[in-house]
Amino acid sequence: MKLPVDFRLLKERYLGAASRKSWVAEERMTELVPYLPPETADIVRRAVASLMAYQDPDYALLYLNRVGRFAGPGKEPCAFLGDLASRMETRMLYADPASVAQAALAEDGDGNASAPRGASFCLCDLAGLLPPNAADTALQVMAYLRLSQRAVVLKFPAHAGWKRRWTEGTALLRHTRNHSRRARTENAWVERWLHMIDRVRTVQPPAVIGMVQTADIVSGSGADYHRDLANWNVIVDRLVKPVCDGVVTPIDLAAALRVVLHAAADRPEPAMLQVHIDRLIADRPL
Amino acid sequence: MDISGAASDMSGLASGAGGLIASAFVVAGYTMRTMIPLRIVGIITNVVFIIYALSHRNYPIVALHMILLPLNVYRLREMLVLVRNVKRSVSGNLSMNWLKPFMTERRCEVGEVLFYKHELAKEMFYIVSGRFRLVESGIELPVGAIVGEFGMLSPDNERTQTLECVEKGLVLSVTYQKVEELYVQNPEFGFYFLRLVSARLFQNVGRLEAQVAALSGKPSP
Repeated sequence: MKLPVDFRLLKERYLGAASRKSWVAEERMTELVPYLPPETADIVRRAVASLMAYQDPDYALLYLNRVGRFAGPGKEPCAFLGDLASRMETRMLYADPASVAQAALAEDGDGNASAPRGASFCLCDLAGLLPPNAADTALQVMAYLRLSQRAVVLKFPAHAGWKRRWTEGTALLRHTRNHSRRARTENAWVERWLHMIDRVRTVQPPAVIGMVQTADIVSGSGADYHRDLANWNVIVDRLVKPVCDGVVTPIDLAAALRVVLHAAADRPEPAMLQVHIDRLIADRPL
Repeated sequence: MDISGAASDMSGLASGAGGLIASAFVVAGYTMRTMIPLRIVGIITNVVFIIYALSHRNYPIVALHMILLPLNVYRLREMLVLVRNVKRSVSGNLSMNWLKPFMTERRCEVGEVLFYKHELAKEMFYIVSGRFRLVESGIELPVGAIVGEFGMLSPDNERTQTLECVEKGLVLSVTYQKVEELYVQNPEFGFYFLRLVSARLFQNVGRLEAQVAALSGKPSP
Protein backbone atom coordinates (compact mmCIF):
# COMPACT_ATOMS: atom_id res chain seq x y z
CA MET A 1 0.00 0.00 0.00
CA LYS A 2 1.40 3.38 -0.98
CA LEU A 3 1.13 6.07 1.68
CA PRO A 4 0.16 9.69 0.77
CA VAL A 5 3.21 11.89 0.23
CA ASP A 6 2.98 13.73 3.60
CA PHE A 7 2.97 10.49 5.53
CA ARG A 8 5.85 9.17 3.43
CA LEU A 9 7.85 12.32 4.21
CA LEU A 10 7.10 11.93 7.94
CA LYS A 11 8.12 8.27 7.78
CA GLU A 12 11.33 9.23 6.01
CA ARG A 13 12.02 11.94 8.59
CA TYR A 14 11.59 9.70 11.62
CA LEU A 15 12.30 6.18 10.30
CA GLY A 16 14.78 6.89 7.51
CA ALA A 17 12.47 5.43 4.89
CA ALA A 18 14.68 6.56 2.00
CA SER A 19 17.33 3.97 2.80
CA ARG A 20 14.89 1.23 3.82
CA LYS A 21 14.61 0.19 0.21
CA SER A 22 16.50 -2.77 -1.11
CA TRP A 23 17.69 -0.83 -4.17
CA VAL A 24 19.81 1.45 -1.95
CA ALA A 25 21.81 -1.55 -0.69
CA GLU A 26 21.88 -3.10 -4.16
CA GLU A 27 23.28 0.11 -5.67
CA ARG A 28 25.97 0.28 -3.00
CA MET A 29 26.84 -3.36 -3.76
CA THR A 30 27.12 -2.60 -7.49
CA GLU A 31 29.58 0.20 -6.66
CA LEU A 32 31.63 -2.06 -4.40
CA VAL A 33 31.75 -5.31 -6.38
CA PRO A 34 34.31 -4.15 -9.05
CA TYR A 35 36.83 -3.67 -6.25
CA LEU A 36 36.31 -7.14 -4.75
CA PRO A 37 37.92 -10.44 -5.79
CA PRO A 38 35.29 -12.70 -7.49
CA GLU A 39 35.00 -15.16 -4.59
CA THR A 40 34.63 -12.29 -2.09
CA ALA A 41 32.00 -10.65 -4.29
CA ASP A 42 29.96 -13.89 -4.10
CA ILE A 43 30.28 -13.93 -0.30
CA VAL A 44 29.16 -10.30 -0.14
CA ARG A 45 26.16 -10.92 -2.44
CA ARG A 46 25.00 -13.85 -0.30
CA ALA A 47 25.58 -11.84 2.88
CA VAL A 48 23.53 -8.90 1.63
CA ALA A 49 20.61 -11.20 0.78
CA SER A 50 20.72 -12.92 4.18
CA LEU A 51 21.10 -9.63 6.12
CA MET A 52 18.08 -8.18 4.32
CA ALA A 53 16.06 -11.24 5.31
CA TYR A 54 17.44 -11.13 8.86
CA GLN A 55 16.88 -7.40 9.43
CA ASP A 56 16.36 -4.87 6.62
CA PRO A 57 18.20 -3.17 3.70
CA ASP A 58 19.68 -0.62 6.13
CA TYR A 59 21.45 -3.42 7.95
CA ALA A 60 22.80 -4.80 4.66
CA LEU A 61 23.96 -1.27 3.82
CA LEU A 62 25.84 -1.12 7.12
CA TYR A 63 27.55 -4.42 6.21
CA LEU A 64 28.52 -3.06 2.77
CA ASN A 65 29.87 0.16 4.28
CA ARG A 66 31.97 -1.91 6.68
CA VAL A 67 33.35 -4.02 3.81
CA GLY A 68 33.91 -0.74 1.94
CA ARG A 69 36.42 0.33 4.60
CA PHE A 70 38.82 -2.26 3.21
CA ALA A 71 37.96 -2.12 -0.50
CA GLY A 72 37.10 0.63 -2.91
CA PRO A 73 38.63 3.27 -5.14
CA GLY A 74 42.21 4.07 -4.16
CA LYS A 75 42.41 1.32 -1.54
CA GLU A 76 44.96 -1.49 -1.55
CA PRO A 77 43.25 -4.87 -2.12
CA CYS A 78 43.32 -6.93 1.10
CA ALA A 79 44.16 -10.63 1.02
CA PHE A 80 41.98 -11.23 4.08
CA LEU A 81 38.84 -9.59 2.69
CA GLY A 82 37.04 -12.86 1.92
CA ASP A 83 37.68 -14.17 5.44
CA LEU A 84 36.58 -10.88 6.93
CA ALA A 85 33.40 -10.61 4.81
CA SER A 86 32.16 -14.10 5.70
CA ARG A 87 32.95 -13.73 9.40
CA MET A 88 31.35 -10.31 9.58
CA GLU A 89 28.19 -11.75 8.05
CA THR A 90 28.16 -14.49 10.70
CA ARG A 91 28.64 -11.95 13.49
CA MET A 92 25.98 -9.60 12.19
CA LEU A 93 23.52 -12.52 12.00
CA TYR A 94 23.73 -13.03 15.76
CA ALA A 95 21.34 -15.40 17.48
CA ASP A 96 18.47 -13.86 19.41
CA PRO A 97 14.89 -15.09 19.98
CA ALA A 98 13.64 -13.25 16.88
CA SER A 99 16.28 -14.82 14.64
CA VAL A 100 15.54 -18.35 15.92
CA ALA A 101 11.81 -17.79 15.32
CA GLN A 102 12.57 -16.39 11.85
CA ALA A 103 14.64 -19.48 11.06
CA ALA A 104 11.82 -21.79 12.26
CA LEU A 105 9.30 -20.02 10.02
CA ALA A 106 11.70 -20.05 7.07
CA GLU A 107 12.25 -23.80 7.48
CA ASP A 108 8.50 -24.36 7.55
CA GLY A 109 8.15 -22.24 4.42
CA ASP A 110 10.73 -24.43 2.68
CA GLY A 111 8.66 -27.47 3.66
CA ASN A 112 11.39 -29.15 5.70
CA ALA A 113 10.22 -28.33 9.22
CA SER A 114 10.47 -31.19 11.68
CA ALA A 115 10.88 -30.69 15.43
CA PRO A 116 10.40 -27.18 16.86
CA ARG A 117 13.52 -25.04 16.71
CA GLY A 118 14.87 -24.07 20.09
CA ALA A 119 17.76 -22.21 21.61
CA SER A 120 19.06 -21.52 25.07
CA PHE A 121 19.29 -17.90 26.22
CA CYS A 122 20.21 -16.22 29.47
CA LEU A 123 17.66 -13.94 31.11
CA CYS A 124 20.01 -11.04 30.38
CA ASP A 125 19.64 -11.83 26.66
CA LEU A 126 15.88 -11.44 26.98
CA ALA A 127 16.34 -8.10 28.79
CA GLY A 128 18.66 -7.16 25.92
CA LEU A 129 15.64 -7.14 23.60
CA LEU A 130 14.48 -3.93 25.31
CA PRO A 131 15.65 -0.41 24.40
CA PRO A 132 18.99 0.46 26.08
CA ASN A 133 17.62 2.57 28.96
CA ALA A 134 14.91 0.07 29.91
CA ALA A 135 17.30 -2.86 29.43
CA ASP A 136 19.94 -1.29 31.70
CA THR A 137 17.40 -0.93 34.50
CA ALA A 138 16.16 -4.50 33.99
CA LEU A 139 19.74 -5.79 33.98
CA GLN A 140 20.52 -3.97 37.22
CA VAL A 141 17.50 -5.59 38.88
CA MET A 142 18.46 -9.01 37.48
CA ALA A 143 22.05 -8.60 38.66
CA TYR A 144 20.77 -7.69 42.15
CA LEU A 145 18.56 -10.80 42.19
CA ARG A 146 21.38 -12.86 40.64
CA LEU A 147 19.16 -13.93 37.78
CA SER A 148 21.18 -12.54 34.85
CA GLN A 149 22.79 -15.85 33.92
CA ARG A 150 19.67 -18.00 34.52
CA ALA A 151 19.23 -20.14 31.39
CA VAL A 152 15.91 -20.19 29.53
CA VAL A 153 15.21 -22.53 26.64
CA LEU A 154 12.84 -21.07 24.08
CA LYS A 155 11.17 -23.34 21.53
CA PHE A 156 9.61 -22.11 18.32
CA PRO A 157 7.22 -24.56 16.67
CA ALA A 158 6.21 -23.65 13.14
CA HIS A 159 3.18 -25.98 12.86
CA ALA A 160 -0.22 -24.37 12.38
CA GLY A 161 -2.10 -23.32 15.51
CA TRP A 162 -1.55 -21.02 18.45
CA LYS A 163 2.04 -22.22 18.90
CA ARG A 164 2.82 -20.88 15.46
CA ARG A 165 1.36 -17.51 16.56
CA TRP A 166 3.96 -17.43 19.35
CA THR A 167 6.71 -18.08 16.79
CA GLU A 168 5.32 -15.45 14.43
CA GLY A 169 4.96 -12.95 17.27
CA THR A 170 8.59 -13.49 18.34
CA ALA A 171 9.79 -13.18 14.74
CA LEU A 172 8.11 -9.75 14.63
CA LEU A 173 10.64 -8.57 17.21
CA ARG A 174 13.07 -8.18 14.34
CA HIS A 175 11.41 -4.83 13.63
CA THR A 176 12.48 -3.50 17.04
CA ARG A 177 15.83 -5.33 17.07
CA ASN A 178 17.81 -2.33 15.81
CA HIS A 179 16.68 -0.23 18.77
CA SER A 180 17.55 -2.83 21.40
CA ARG A 181 20.39 -2.97 23.90
CA ARG A 182 21.61 -6.21 22.28
CA ALA A 183 21.91 -4.51 18.87
CA ARG A 184 23.98 -1.74 20.41
CA THR A 185 26.27 -4.26 22.14
CA GLU A 186 26.69 -6.34 18.98
CA ASN A 187 27.38 -3.22 16.93
CA ALA A 188 30.08 -2.13 19.40
CA TRP A 189 31.56 -5.65 19.27
CA VAL A 190 31.83 -5.69 15.47
CA GLU A 191 33.26 -2.14 15.45
CA ARG A 192 35.88 -3.15 18.02
CA TRP A 193 36.80 -6.22 15.98
CA LEU A 194 37.20 -4.10 12.81
CA HIS A 195 39.14 -1.46 14.74
CA MET A 196 41.59 -4.07 16.09
CA ILE A 197 41.98 -5.56 12.59
CA ASP A 198 42.85 -2.09 11.33
CA ARG A 199 45.39 -1.54 14.11
CA VAL A 200 47.00 -4.98 13.75
CA ARG A 201 47.25 -4.36 10.01
CA THR A 202 49.33 -1.26 10.75
CA VAL A 203 51.46 -2.70 13.56
CA GLN A 204 52.01 -6.35 12.54
CA PRO A 205 50.54 -7.07 9.08
CA PRO A 206 51.28 -10.84 9.16
CA ALA A 207 49.02 -11.15 12.25
CA VAL A 208 45.99 -9.58 10.62
CA ILE A 209 44.50 -12.89 9.45
CA GLY A 210 44.79 -14.20 13.02
CA MET A 211 42.93 -11.14 14.25
CA VAL A 212 40.21 -11.73 11.63
CA GLN A 213 39.94 -15.35 12.79
CA THR A 214 39.38 -14.34 16.42
CA ALA A 215 35.72 -13.87 15.43
CA ASP A 216 35.45 -17.66 15.08
CA ILE A 217 35.60 -18.18 18.82
CA VAL A 218 32.31 -16.34 19.36
CA SER A 219 29.27 -18.40 18.44
CA GLY A 220 25.96 -19.76 19.66
CA SER A 221 23.69 -18.24 22.27
CA GLY A 222 23.15 -18.16 26.01
CA ALA A 223 25.92 -18.99 28.49
CA ASP A 224 28.28 -20.34 25.79
CA TYR A 225 27.98 -17.11 23.85
CA HIS A 226 28.69 -14.99 26.93
CA ARG A 227 31.76 -17.05 27.75
CA ASP A 228 33.01 -16.79 24.15
CA LEU A 229 32.55 -13.05 24.18
CA ALA A 230 34.38 -12.73 27.51
CA ASN A 231 37.24 -14.84 26.08
CA TRP A 232 37.39 -12.67 22.98
CA ASN A 233 37.63 -9.54 25.12
CA VAL A 234 40.39 -11.17 27.18
CA ILE A 235 42.37 -11.89 23.98
CA VAL A 236 42.00 -8.30 22.80
CA ASP A 237 42.58 -6.62 26.17
CA ARG A 238 45.49 -8.81 27.33
CA LEU A 239 47.24 -9.57 24.06
CA VAL A 240 46.29 -7.63 20.94
CA LYS A 241 45.72 -4.16 22.38
CA PRO A 242 48.88 -4.09 24.54
CA VAL A 243 50.92 -5.17 21.49
CA CYS A 244 49.32 -2.44 19.34
CA ASP A 245 49.81 0.16 22.09
CA GLY A 246 53.43 -0.98 22.51
CA VAL A 247 53.06 -1.51 26.26
CA VAL A 248 54.41 -5.10 26.23
CA THR A 249 57.69 -6.40 24.85
CA PRO A 250 57.36 -6.89 21.08
CA ILE A 251 56.17 -10.42 20.30
CA ASP A 252 55.21 -12.30 17.16
CA LEU A 253 51.50 -11.57 17.34
CA ALA A 254 50.60 -13.98 14.54
CA ALA A 255 52.18 -16.92 16.38
CA ALA A 256 50.75 -15.79 19.71
CA LEU A 257 47.25 -15.53 18.23
CA ARG A 258 47.51 -19.05 16.77
CA VAL A 259 48.35 -20.45 20.21
CA VAL A 260 45.67 -18.44 21.99
CA LEU A 261 42.93 -19.22 19.45
CA HIS A 262 43.76 -22.92 19.78
CA ALA A 263 43.40 -22.63 23.55
CA ALA A 264 40.16 -20.63 23.25
CA ALA A 265 38.56 -23.24 20.99
CA ASP A 266 37.86 -25.41 24.06
CA ARG A 267 35.84 -22.59 25.68
CA PRO A 268 37.96 -22.25 28.83
CA GLU A 269 37.00 -19.90 31.67
CA PRO A 270 38.11 -16.32 30.83
CA ALA A 271 40.36 -16.26 33.92
CA MET A 272 42.17 -19.39 32.69
CA LEU A 273 42.65 -17.91 29.24
CA GLN A 274 43.99 -14.74 30.83
CA VAL A 275 46.60 -16.74 32.79
CA HIS A 276 47.50 -18.58 29.58
CA ILE A 277 48.03 -15.29 27.69
CA ASP A 278 50.03 -13.71 30.54
CA ARG A 279 52.30 -16.75 30.63
CA LEU A 280 52.68 -16.63 26.85
CA ILE A 281 53.77 -12.98 26.95
CA ALA A 282 56.13 -13.56 29.90
CA ASP A 283 57.80 -16.58 28.21
CA ARG A 284 58.54 -14.71 24.99
CA PRO A 285 62.26 -14.01 24.44
CA LEU A 286 63.12 -10.31 24.10
CA MET B 1 -31.46 59.03 21.44
CA ASP B 2 -30.88 55.73 23.26
CA ILE B 3 -27.40 56.13 24.73
CA SER B 4 -27.37 52.74 26.50
CA GLY B 5 -28.24 50.97 23.21
CA ALA B 6 -25.40 52.75 21.39
CA ALA B 7 -22.95 51.86 24.19
CA SER B 8 -24.05 48.24 24.00
CA ASP B 9 -23.51 48.25 20.20
CA MET B 10 -20.03 49.76 20.65
CA SER B 11 -19.13 47.17 23.27
CA GLY B 12 -20.33 44.37 20.94
CA LEU B 13 -18.23 45.84 18.11
CA ALA B 14 -15.15 46.12 20.34
CA SER B 15 -15.65 42.58 21.53
CA GLY B 16 -15.92 41.30 17.95
CA ALA B 17 -12.85 43.30 16.91
CA GLY B 18 -10.91 41.92 19.89
CA GLY B 19 -11.81 38.38 18.84
CA LEU B 20 -10.80 39.12 15.24
CA ILE B 21 -7.45 40.60 16.25
CA ALA B 22 -6.68 37.61 18.51
CA SER B 23 -7.62 35.21 15.69
CA ALA B 24 -5.45 37.17 13.24
CA PHE B 25 -2.46 36.64 15.53
CA VAL B 26 -3.16 32.88 15.68
CA VAL B 27 -3.16 32.77 11.86
CA ALA B 28 0.02 34.88 11.74
CA GLY B 29 1.66 32.45 14.18
CA TYR B 30 0.95 29.52 11.87
CA THR B 31 2.58 31.32 8.93
CA MET B 32 5.93 31.77 10.72
CA ARG B 33 8.74 29.62 9.34
CA THR B 34 11.32 29.98 12.09
CA MET B 35 11.36 29.78 15.83
CA ILE B 36 12.10 33.32 17.08
CA PRO B 37 9.34 35.14 15.12
CA LEU B 38 6.98 32.26 15.99
CA ARG B 39 7.61 32.74 19.71
CA ILE B 40 7.23 36.54 19.50
CA VAL B 41 3.90 36.23 17.70
CA GLY B 42 2.94 33.51 20.18
CA ILE B 43 3.57 35.89 23.10
CA ILE B 44 1.51 38.69 21.49
CA THR B 45 -1.31 36.20 20.81
CA ASN B 46 -1.24 35.07 24.44
CA VAL B 47 -1.49 38.67 25.71
CA VAL B 48 -4.33 39.58 23.31
CA PHE B 49 -6.24 36.42 24.22
CA ILE B 50 -5.81 37.04 27.96
CA ILE B 51 -7.25 40.58 27.60
CA TYR B 52 -10.05 39.37 25.33
CA ALA B 53 -10.98 36.42 27.54
CA LEU B 54 -10.82 38.55 30.73
CA SER B 55 -13.27 41.03 29.20
CA HIS B 56 -15.63 38.12 28.49
CA ARG B 57 -14.95 36.45 31.86
CA ASN B 58 -13.90 33.32 29.97
CA TYR B 59 -11.57 31.98 32.67
CA PRO B 60 -10.55 28.61 31.09
CA ILE B 61 -9.13 30.54 28.07
CA VAL B 62 -7.39 32.97 30.47
CA ALA B 63 -5.86 30.00 32.34
CA LEU B 64 -4.71 28.34 29.09
CA HIS B 65 -2.91 31.46 27.86
CA MET B 66 -1.48 32.20 31.31
CA ILE B 67 0.24 28.79 31.01
CA LEU B 68 1.33 29.32 27.40
CA LEU B 69 2.73 32.83 27.95
CA PRO B 70 5.65 31.92 30.29
CA LEU B 71 6.37 28.86 28.13
CA ASN B 72 6.73 31.04 25.03
CA VAL B 73 8.83 33.60 26.95
CA TYR B 74 11.14 30.81 28.24
CA ARG B 75 11.63 29.26 24.77
CA LEU B 76 12.23 32.67 23.17
CA ARG B 77 14.82 33.53 25.79
CA GLU B 78 16.52 30.13 25.28
CA MET B 79 16.85 30.79 21.54
CA LEU B 80 18.10 34.37 22.01
CA VAL B 81 20.69 33.26 24.56
CA LEU B 82 21.82 30.49 22.18
CA VAL B 83 22.32 32.94 19.30
CA ARG B 84 24.14 35.42 21.57
CA ASN B 85 26.49 32.69 22.87
CA VAL B 86 27.28 31.36 19.39
CA LYS B 87 28.01 34.95 18.21
CA ARG B 88 30.32 35.47 21.18
CA SER B 89 32.13 32.18 20.45
CA VAL B 90 32.72 33.19 16.82
CA SER B 91 34.32 36.48 17.84
CA GLY B 92 35.98 35.04 20.97
CA ASN B 93 37.65 31.77 21.91
CA LEU B 94 35.76 29.53 19.43
CA SER B 95 34.48 27.38 22.31
CA MET B 96 31.31 25.35 21.96
CA ASN B 97 30.23 25.57 25.61
CA TRP B 98 26.92 27.07 24.52
CA LEU B 99 25.84 23.57 23.47
CA LYS B 100 25.92 22.35 27.07
CA PRO B 101 22.21 23.03 27.87
CA PHE B 102 21.26 20.74 24.99
CA MET B 103 23.55 17.88 26.01
CA THR B 104 23.09 14.73 28.07
CA GLU B 105 25.57 13.27 30.54
CA ARG B 106 27.45 10.04 29.96
CA ARG B 107 29.87 8.44 32.42
CA CYS B 108 32.86 6.61 30.92
CA GLU B 109 35.01 3.88 32.39
CA VAL B 110 38.69 3.24 31.64
CA GLY B 111 39.09 1.48 28.28
CA GLU B 112 35.61 2.42 27.09
CA VAL B 113 35.57 3.53 23.49
CA LEU B 114 33.21 6.38 22.66
CA PHE B 115 33.50 5.82 18.94
CA TYR B 116 35.63 3.92 16.44
CA LYS B 117 37.38 5.11 13.31
CA HIS B 118 35.15 4.75 10.20
CA GLU B 119 32.05 4.31 12.36
CA LEU B 120 29.00 6.31 11.30
CA ALA B 121 29.05 9.57 13.30
CA LYS B 122 25.82 10.51 15.03
CA GLU B 123 26.83 12.71 17.97
CA MET B 124 29.47 15.06 19.31
CA PHE B 125 30.98 15.10 22.79
CA TYR B 126 32.12 17.69 25.33
CA ILE B 127 34.70 16.44 27.82
CA VAL B 128 33.82 17.44 31.37
CA SER B 129 36.28 15.34 33.35
CA GLY B 130 38.66 12.38 32.96
CA ARG B 131 41.21 11.70 30.24
CA PHE B 132 40.40 10.77 26.65
CA ARG B 133 42.80 9.84 23.87
CA LEU B 134 42.48 9.72 20.09
CA VAL B 135 43.96 6.27 19.47
CA GLU B 136 45.32 6.66 15.92
CA SER B 137 47.06 10.01 16.46
CA GLY B 138 47.83 9.45 20.15
CA ILE B 139 46.52 12.95 20.98
CA GLU B 140 45.09 13.37 24.46
CA LEU B 141 42.12 15.71 24.61
CA PRO B 142 41.93 18.26 27.43
CA VAL B 143 38.93 18.84 29.68
CA GLY B 144 36.59 21.28 27.94
CA ALA B 145 37.37 19.98 24.46
CA ILE B 146 34.60 19.33 21.96
CA VAL B 147 35.14 16.30 19.81
CA GLY B 148 33.19 15.05 16.82
CA GLU B 149 31.79 18.33 15.50
CA PHE B 150 33.27 17.89 12.01
CA GLY B 151 31.60 14.50 11.54
CA MET B 152 28.29 16.31 11.17
CA LEU B 153 29.51 18.35 8.22
CA SER B 154 31.70 15.74 6.51
CA PRO B 155 30.07 14.25 3.38
CA ASP B 156 30.34 10.61 4.46
CA ASN B 157 29.54 11.16 8.17
CA GLU B 158 32.40 8.86 9.16
CA ARG B 159 34.62 9.10 12.22
CA THR B 160 38.23 9.79 11.31
CA GLN B 161 39.73 8.58 14.62
CA THR B 162 38.92 6.34 17.58
CA LEU B 163 38.26 7.99 20.95
CA GLU B 164 39.13 5.98 24.05
CA CYS B 165 38.70 6.81 27.72
CA VAL B 166 42.05 6.43 29.53
CA GLU B 167 40.89 7.77 32.91
CA LYS B 168 37.36 7.49 34.26
CA GLY B 169 35.38 10.62 33.47
CA LEU B 170 32.26 12.36 32.34
CA VAL B 171 31.29 13.59 28.89
CA LEU B 172 28.27 15.46 27.61
CA SER B 173 26.86 14.35 24.30
CA VAL B 174 24.50 15.89 21.79
CA THR B 175 23.18 14.20 18.69
CA TYR B 176 23.68 15.76 15.28
CA GLN B 177 19.92 15.55 14.87
CA LYS B 178 19.49 17.96 17.81
CA VAL B 179 22.02 20.41 16.35
CA GLU B 180 20.31 20.10 12.95
CA GLU B 181 16.98 20.93 14.59
CA LEU B 182 18.48 24.05 16.21
CA TYR B 183 20.00 24.94 12.84
CA VAL B 184 16.74 24.63 10.94
CA GLN B 185 14.60 26.31 13.60
CA ASN B 186 16.93 29.25 13.84
CA PRO B 187 18.76 30.42 10.68
CA GLU B 188 20.77 33.02 12.62
CA PHE B 189 22.13 30.24 14.83
CA GLY B 190 22.86 28.18 11.69
CA PHE B 191 24.83 31.00 10.12
CA TYR B 192 26.99 31.58 13.18
CA PHE B 193 27.38 27.84 13.76
CA LEU B 194 28.83 27.47 10.24
CA ARG B 195 31.18 30.38 10.85
CA LEU B 196 32.28 28.85 14.14
CA VAL B 197 32.97 25.37 12.71
CA SER B 198 34.83 26.91 9.75
CA ALA B 199 36.90 29.03 12.12
CA ARG B 200 37.80 25.92 14.15
CA LEU B 201 38.74 24.14 10.93
CA PHE B 202 40.98 27.04 9.86
CA GLN B 203 42.52 27.02 13.33
CA ASN B 204 43.38 23.30 12.90
CA VAL B 205 44.80 23.96 9.42
CA GLY B 206 46.95 26.75 10.86
CA ARG B 207 48.21 24.48 13.63
CA LEU B 208 49.07 21.74 11.11
CA GLU B 209 50.88 24.23 8.88
CA ALA B 210 52.93 25.37 11.86
CA GLN B 211 53.77 21.72 12.71
CA VAL B 212 54.79 20.98 9.11
CA ALA B 213 56.91 24.12 9.07
CA ALA B 214 58.54 23.12 12.37
CA LEU B 215 59.30 19.62 11.03
CA SER B 216 60.74 20.90 7.76
CA GLY B 217 62.73 23.63 9.51
CA LYS B 218 61.14 26.41 7.44
CA PRO B 219 59.20 29.30 8.96
CA SER B 220 55.44 28.99 8.51
CA PRO B 221 54.00 31.45 5.93
